[in-house]
Amino acid sequence: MTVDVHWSVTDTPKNHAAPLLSVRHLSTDFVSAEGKVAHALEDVSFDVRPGETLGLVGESGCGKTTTMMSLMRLLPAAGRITSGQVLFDGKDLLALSENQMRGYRWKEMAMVFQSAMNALNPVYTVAEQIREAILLHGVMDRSAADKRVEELLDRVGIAKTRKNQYPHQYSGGMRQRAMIAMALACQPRLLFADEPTTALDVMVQAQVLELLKTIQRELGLAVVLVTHDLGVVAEICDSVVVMYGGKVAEYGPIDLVYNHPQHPYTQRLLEAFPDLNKPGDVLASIPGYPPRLNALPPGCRFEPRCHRKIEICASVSPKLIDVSQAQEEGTLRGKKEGELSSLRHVAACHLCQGPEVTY
Amino acid sequence: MSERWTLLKRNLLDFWKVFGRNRPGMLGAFLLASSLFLAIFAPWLTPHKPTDTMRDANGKAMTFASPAEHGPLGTDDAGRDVWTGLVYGSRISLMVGFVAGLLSMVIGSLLGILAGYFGGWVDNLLMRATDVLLVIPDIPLTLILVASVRQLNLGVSPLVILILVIGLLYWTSTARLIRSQVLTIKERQFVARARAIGAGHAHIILKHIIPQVMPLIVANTVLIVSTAILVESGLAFLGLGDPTQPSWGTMINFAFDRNAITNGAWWFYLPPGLAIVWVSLGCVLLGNVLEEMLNPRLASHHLEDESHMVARPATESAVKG
Amino acid sequence: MTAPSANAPPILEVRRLKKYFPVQQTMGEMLLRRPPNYVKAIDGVTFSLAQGEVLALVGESGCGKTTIAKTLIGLEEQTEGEILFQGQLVGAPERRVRAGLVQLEPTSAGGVTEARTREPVAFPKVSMKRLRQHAQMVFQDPYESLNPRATIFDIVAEPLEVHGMARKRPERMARVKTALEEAGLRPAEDYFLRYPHELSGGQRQRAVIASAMVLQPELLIADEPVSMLDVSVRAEILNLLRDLRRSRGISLVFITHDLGTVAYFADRIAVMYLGRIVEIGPTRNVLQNPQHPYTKALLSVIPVPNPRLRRQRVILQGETPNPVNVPSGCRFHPRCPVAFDRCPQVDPALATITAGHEAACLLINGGRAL
Repeated sequence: MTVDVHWSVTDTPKNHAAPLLSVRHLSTDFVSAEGKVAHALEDVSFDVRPGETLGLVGESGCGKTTTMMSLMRLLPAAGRITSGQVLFDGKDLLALSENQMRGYRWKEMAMVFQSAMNALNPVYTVAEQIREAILLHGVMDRSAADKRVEELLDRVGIAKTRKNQYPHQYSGGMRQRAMIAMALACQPRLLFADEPTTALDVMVQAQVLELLKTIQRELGLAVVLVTHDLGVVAEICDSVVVMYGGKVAEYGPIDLVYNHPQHPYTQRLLEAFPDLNKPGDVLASIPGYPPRLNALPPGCRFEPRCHRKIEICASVSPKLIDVSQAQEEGTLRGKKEGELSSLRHVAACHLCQGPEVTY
Repeated sequence: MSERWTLLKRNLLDFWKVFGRNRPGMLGAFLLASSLFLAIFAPWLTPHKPTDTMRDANGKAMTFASPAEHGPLGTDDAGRDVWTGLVYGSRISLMVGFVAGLLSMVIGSLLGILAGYFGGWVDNLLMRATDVLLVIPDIPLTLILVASVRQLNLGVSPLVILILVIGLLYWTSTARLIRSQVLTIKERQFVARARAIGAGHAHIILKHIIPQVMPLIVANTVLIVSTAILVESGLAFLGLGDPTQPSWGTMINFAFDRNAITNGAWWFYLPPGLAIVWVSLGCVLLGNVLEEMLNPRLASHHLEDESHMVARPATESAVKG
Repeated sequence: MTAPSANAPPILEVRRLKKYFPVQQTMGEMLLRRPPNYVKAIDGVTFSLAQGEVLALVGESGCGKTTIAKTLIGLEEQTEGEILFQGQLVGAPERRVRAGLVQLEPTSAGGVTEARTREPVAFPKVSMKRLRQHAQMVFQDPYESLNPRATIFDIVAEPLEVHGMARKRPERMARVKTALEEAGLRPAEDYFLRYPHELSGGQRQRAVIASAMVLQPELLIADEPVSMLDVSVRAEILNLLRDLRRSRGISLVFITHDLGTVAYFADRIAVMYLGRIVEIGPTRNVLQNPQHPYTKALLSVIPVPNPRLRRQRVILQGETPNPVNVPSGCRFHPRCPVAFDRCPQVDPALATITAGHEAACLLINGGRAL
């Protein structure tokens, strides 16, 4: 009936030399019908290693979904990637043609969408849709595909007897599992999950997160989890990128970012999350509004709302600073030396002290 | 109050900004506006009266004079100026079309709102009535009704008969459309909120349902007017119009009856025909564009759609766009 | 937190509330005269709310919390059970009598009792319309609960209009202004002519609260008021509700699925499962010493932003069953990690753990049957 699971920080990926996905200086614009340009992303860089779970966190309008769409090159017509590189296994995905890119989509990188009801076609059975995903990529013939569909459904915990039902006959949690099964169809190495549990009940969310973690361990998948829920990220992610106003505010191993946040936004965000273990604490809110992406201030984007701003913040945009050395983080670091050695903790804030980071 | 007026002006301006860029819409608006112009300023656009006979230098009536001989559109079989007929005829065609269309719209909207809002037996009753009317073919039914009523010799102008029959028969598509829109609106949370506050049916219909549905009604009216104009033209062509107040359809009727074709007097039947097309096209273009623009789209959830900019805060009201 | 007044009568009492939705039958079923099925959205809920208290109704989807909110405010009518506001019965049971749902019997003393329970039936003194002058609802979705074509002024003034109050313009404007400013939208005049889409999510929710406050109600029913807001904005609204409680002594029924928010804010928590309250008690007690297996499981899986925290998570299998098929005996037994042989047979009532803290489980104090 129940599963007792211990999540611990030691469940981190073994040390791998090369990242699977390397995003470097990614910038994306949206051009509106009137010709106004919104800089949805600017200079976003991070790495994802094989077997790692990276959380992409921020509130609405911060650019996390746009980042994911840019990486898969699934931006809507108004979106344009203006600069940067997306290196998957060394190859720059942005330099590929659409045809070549299709070879990567689903086969190497797959996606689980937020609202399964919208992403699953209501007039086809679940088995048909998963089979379609397999057959479209031409990796196997029909009978092999059918077997694979059963395998996948089994792996995500959906009874075989239900494979020929329609999406509306599935509960919310089952639909999300079906989406995961579909994403795994061609054995990708990287999975993007866009708010996969936001619409789900807390218990079902726990089930789905556990499933993701299990699958990831069994298949050695790398996962990029896009969400606004800091709690979910703390549950299953190894590293986290905090985004604000289209830029990276802070990035590093989960432990360090959550327990020694350097960016004022991260600090406030963590304070705004109610902790069950400390009821009655004062909850912080962040006054003001996120910046308008078509009328960005010249300095730090968080400056208008920042509680620790200094004079330079309004005029000069902060660069990413490596804060690993400046902090007394040695204890944890020492323990995890072999595992986290290559992941630095960086933050974009003038108050941080340390060497500038160049990717 | 004056603030409401400012608000209204702001809304109209916003609307105009989007509409102005839509080419089919602007074209439609132009077509319609020019026809209205014709109708309103008829007496100034022609020196003659529709019943005047054009006479040549010798005093003889100029029958079937071509545009080359007597411009701009020549004369008909009795020597009357076609251009004058066209311009005055626009008044009839447009008047019948607009009034019938409005009548249709009012009936259809009312029934659609009632059926959609109350549901139950009210809805059933109205929808079955609609079904009955939809099953019977439009034009034959209209024809028969108009002809029968005229037989009754009630002493009513044939135009009034046309308006009433068209108005009372063509509301069904509007009713259907409005009803389905009302069904959606009824389920929206702001209606539940109004009910939770304690609002009664009248308040909800007047303050919440109608404002939401009004844009659709406006758009649909334009389309219905187009239908009404076409139906009127058709019936007038078949002789059911008022010969003393000829509309464009009546003009074409005359043209056919009085051998304009055999006489090669294309200027008699082509212009009215083109005029009908002109106005109908205008209405349809305008109506379709309005419907597209004004159809309430579901507000998108801010967590799902990130390309939606966060709404600007109240203090930045001066900075638009 | 302000302690609710102990001696005043409860502002709200709900007794044995039930709301069943009939399931549409197929032709075959109707011909065979099968009894209809019901979706038992609320299946016997009893609680009371003291003046100035905040009670949180917590549960996952399908537990009935939203249905309770709708029933309290009159958007749905209860199938059975009573709602009392300030000690007076609310609603119109005559309709239910006519519908055959409640059988009445005259007593020799000249009164009327309900046939099944033999409880005296008092006829209602408070109509739903009057209740709505004293109790208002705050809806979940700030993007949907406001009419997009109405100005903020109209929205906030609507309750006044519906109840025929403040008919004169200056008075109406003054009341709207007060309500908006109380909700934190200052200067109020700036907002009068704005449309909802010109406001941010947090501002819209403030407008919703303002419109709920304009009648100066004593009771607010808030259905997930912050779930659709960004995390950094939630605290503002929660703080606003807290301040309103402090300054006006408003009582609050707070409905949510998010236990974290509740911890911050509520005096008491009621945990719901499949139409029943399975555990109820003061916040600290329920959160730190949960007794019902469902509550324990729920608390163990809520994500907490602390990666160093190691805990034993109890992840229940399956999902909440459809309220049409409520399991026999204890409705939680199919998913319960500690169910034993009596559980499918006996439907437990709420048993006392400590003062004010109760849970419906056979493992508590031997467990009473319902």
